[in-house]
Amino acid sequence: MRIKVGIVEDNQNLARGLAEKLSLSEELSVSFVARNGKDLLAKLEKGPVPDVVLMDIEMDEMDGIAATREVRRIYPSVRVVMQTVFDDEGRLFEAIQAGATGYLLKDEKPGKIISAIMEVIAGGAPLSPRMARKALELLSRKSSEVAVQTDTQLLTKREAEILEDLQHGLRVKQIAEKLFIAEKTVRKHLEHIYEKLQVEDSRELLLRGRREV
Amino acid sequence: MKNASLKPGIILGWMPDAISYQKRIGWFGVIVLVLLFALESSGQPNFQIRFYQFSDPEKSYDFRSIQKIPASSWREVHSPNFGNRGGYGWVRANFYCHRDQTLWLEVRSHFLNSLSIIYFSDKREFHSITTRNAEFTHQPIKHRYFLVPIQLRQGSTYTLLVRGYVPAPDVLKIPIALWSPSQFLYKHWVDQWGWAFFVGVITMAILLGLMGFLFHKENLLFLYFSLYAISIAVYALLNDGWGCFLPDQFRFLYHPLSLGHWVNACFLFFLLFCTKFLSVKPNRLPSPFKISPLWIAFFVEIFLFVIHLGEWLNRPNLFVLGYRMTAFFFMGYLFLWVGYVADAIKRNFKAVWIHLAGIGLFIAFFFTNALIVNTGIYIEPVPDMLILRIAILVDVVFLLLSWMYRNKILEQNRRRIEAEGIVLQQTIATAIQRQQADEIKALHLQNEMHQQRIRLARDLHDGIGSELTHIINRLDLLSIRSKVFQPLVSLSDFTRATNQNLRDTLWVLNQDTISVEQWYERTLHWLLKRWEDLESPELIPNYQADRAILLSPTLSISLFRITQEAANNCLKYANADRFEFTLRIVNDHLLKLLIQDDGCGMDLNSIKRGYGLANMESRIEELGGSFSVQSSPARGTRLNFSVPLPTKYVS
Repeated sequence: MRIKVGIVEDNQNLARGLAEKLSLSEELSVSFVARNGKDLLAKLEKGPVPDVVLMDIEMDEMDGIAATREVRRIYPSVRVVMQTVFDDEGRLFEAIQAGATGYLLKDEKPGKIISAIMEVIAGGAPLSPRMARKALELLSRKSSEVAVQTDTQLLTKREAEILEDLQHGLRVKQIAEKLFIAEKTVRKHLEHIYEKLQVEDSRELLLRGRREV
Repeated sequence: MKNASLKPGIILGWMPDAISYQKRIGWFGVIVLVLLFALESSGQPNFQIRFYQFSDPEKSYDFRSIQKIPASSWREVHSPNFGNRGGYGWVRANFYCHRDQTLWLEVRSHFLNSLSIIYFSDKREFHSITTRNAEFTHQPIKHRYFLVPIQLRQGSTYTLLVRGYVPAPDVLKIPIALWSPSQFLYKHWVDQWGWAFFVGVITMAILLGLMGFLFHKENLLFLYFSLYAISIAVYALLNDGWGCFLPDQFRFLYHPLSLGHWVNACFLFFLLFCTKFLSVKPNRLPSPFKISPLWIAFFVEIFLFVIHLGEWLNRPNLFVLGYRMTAFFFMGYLFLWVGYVADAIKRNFKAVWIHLAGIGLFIAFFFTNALIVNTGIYIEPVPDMLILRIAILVDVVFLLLSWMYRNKILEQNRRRIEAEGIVLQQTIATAIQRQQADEIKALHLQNEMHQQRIRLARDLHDGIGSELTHIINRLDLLSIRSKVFQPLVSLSDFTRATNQNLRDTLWVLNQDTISVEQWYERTLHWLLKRWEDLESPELIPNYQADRAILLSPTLSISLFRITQEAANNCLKYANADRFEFTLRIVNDHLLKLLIQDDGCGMDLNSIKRGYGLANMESRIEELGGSFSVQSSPARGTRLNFSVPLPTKYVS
């Protein structure tokens, strides 16, 4: 079963290049190329719904972040990976909070792009040190808000450890070795971290925390 | 409430209203004087008994032998003069009395030490009155005033003999007169214009002082002035013989030694007045002048008491000691006054000159008097006490004049300070305006720079970045599909590196400030990407710094390039197992960057500088830092950078 990928990109050259790169892989197939957020939502409605959407950030009609929020709301199963020319971390972090579970640069080598998509399917892409620190700060702030209301900690101890390690520049493989767990498990934890980053309302977090308990 | 307390305060003060108050009091004084002079001009010619002096004044006679001298040997005088060799002088008068009455014999002289009055009638009536303190050779107060009642019977012819004594070298000169009491009083009330003038002016001065004390903000100045005027006027009047009119229980005030208390009070208040008048702050003066005049007054009082004690106990030694110490402490007043005046002159306080002129005239009067008396230019010089009173008047008038002058100076100073204040305020306002204009300009400039930066970033982002990305994508695809694989891959990688450089530059452009932590994370992110597909060497990042320290954009980009260069060199040539990257901030002002590997190293002597080291060195030198490299084959390479951080980047 091939992984279906949707591309959202307003630059025609780049969209074509990306599509060609993805077509090099046997495991991926490009479902559609949308020109902006609105176009994407229209195409999703028409179907079929892809597994992963590669989303540009800056677009004219409905930018990548708003589109991500909409996609995640209407089609929770769809993974969104942000793609940028420049690693503008502020915008990327917003995108993650909107529901993206990874990001890559547009000029990455084809192999790297494909493996990033695979990573996302497997759980979550590793965060850069700066993003990891931002995530840690945000989540511990939220966590203290939650802790006021219940004794539940928002971040599990493991998740916090993984974020710390990412912040210090460790890679997934190294973290797995350090914590004596499988890489796959690390990715699962990353997925949870991404999920927790998405939630804006701490009350919702609280409910989710209870459900997990 | 505020207004009510303010309004009296302007009287005699700065405001023009106050001057009119002074004028009113001045006019009041003038009217009093005119009335007194009018009274004087309507006075009667006074009756006087003639006095005779023995023609050989320097020859001493006792009472018995003087009676034998015939009347022709005596000559009529207004004011007997017995020369200055020391000894007794005789004055006589003969007169017939129509009715029972009491006459007052007035004798005044500076130097009279003792006085004997003997009068006898043809009816064998004999009286002798002796006033003497000749026991003491050292006289505290030489000025003497005697007013002696002489009881006379109806129908008798009297002979009156007055004997005075004065030690050499003083001159015995006795202004002498015999008064009926009513005449005496009339003369003193009306005839002595000096007295009228004196009383008028002193009253005016005291009134002015008291008014000022009640209403002026510098009230102590006025109080001291009034007390000074009161005490010196009382002294002058008592010393002038007016004490004889006091009731018996107050006679002690008139005692020659008691006058010392008045003089003491007068000096004390004068000095207190001077401190205020000359705006002297005694505690800012050199140490000997810091002493309060109150202490001097205190010691003077103590030694005046010692003089009294000496007199009571009849102990000349005690008397002399008391007298000398009193004189000594009176010199203390002079000393302090000199200090105050010197201070005022040093401060260029102009009112001091008028003050000095007043004092100078005061002293000049006495010197002139002494000159006249001692050279005998006039047979009857101006009465001594009149001189004192005139001198006091001059002093008081000058004080009042200098007072007005002082107020004028103070007012001028106040206006000048106000004017300077306004100028200063304007200057400050202008400076603030200019500063604000500069700030606004700087803000505009900053804003413009910000706009330009954003525009540049967007251009790079939208244009070149995307275009480079497109080129890279095409090259990647071409390299995969075509047969000329390797050159296309390296071209693709090269372009990718170019894009990365662009990205880093853009990152710096987009930051308003770059903290050392942000820089570290960014660099680490780059290193992680570079290391993405590598198994070896192991990347060991290390970070010890205060996250709040800010780096300049130039420093950030240079250090970033250095790190990139070092990492690329290591990966290309070193074949290392470990790559350590350490960032440390020492004491907030020194950034240390250590990059080392355990690779094959290099021979520093043989390699060319084109190895990138020269590049690193020049970058570090531009930043004012230092750079050292340790490397040897098989022992790896150790690059050590240290850059001083300007303090302004430490937040």
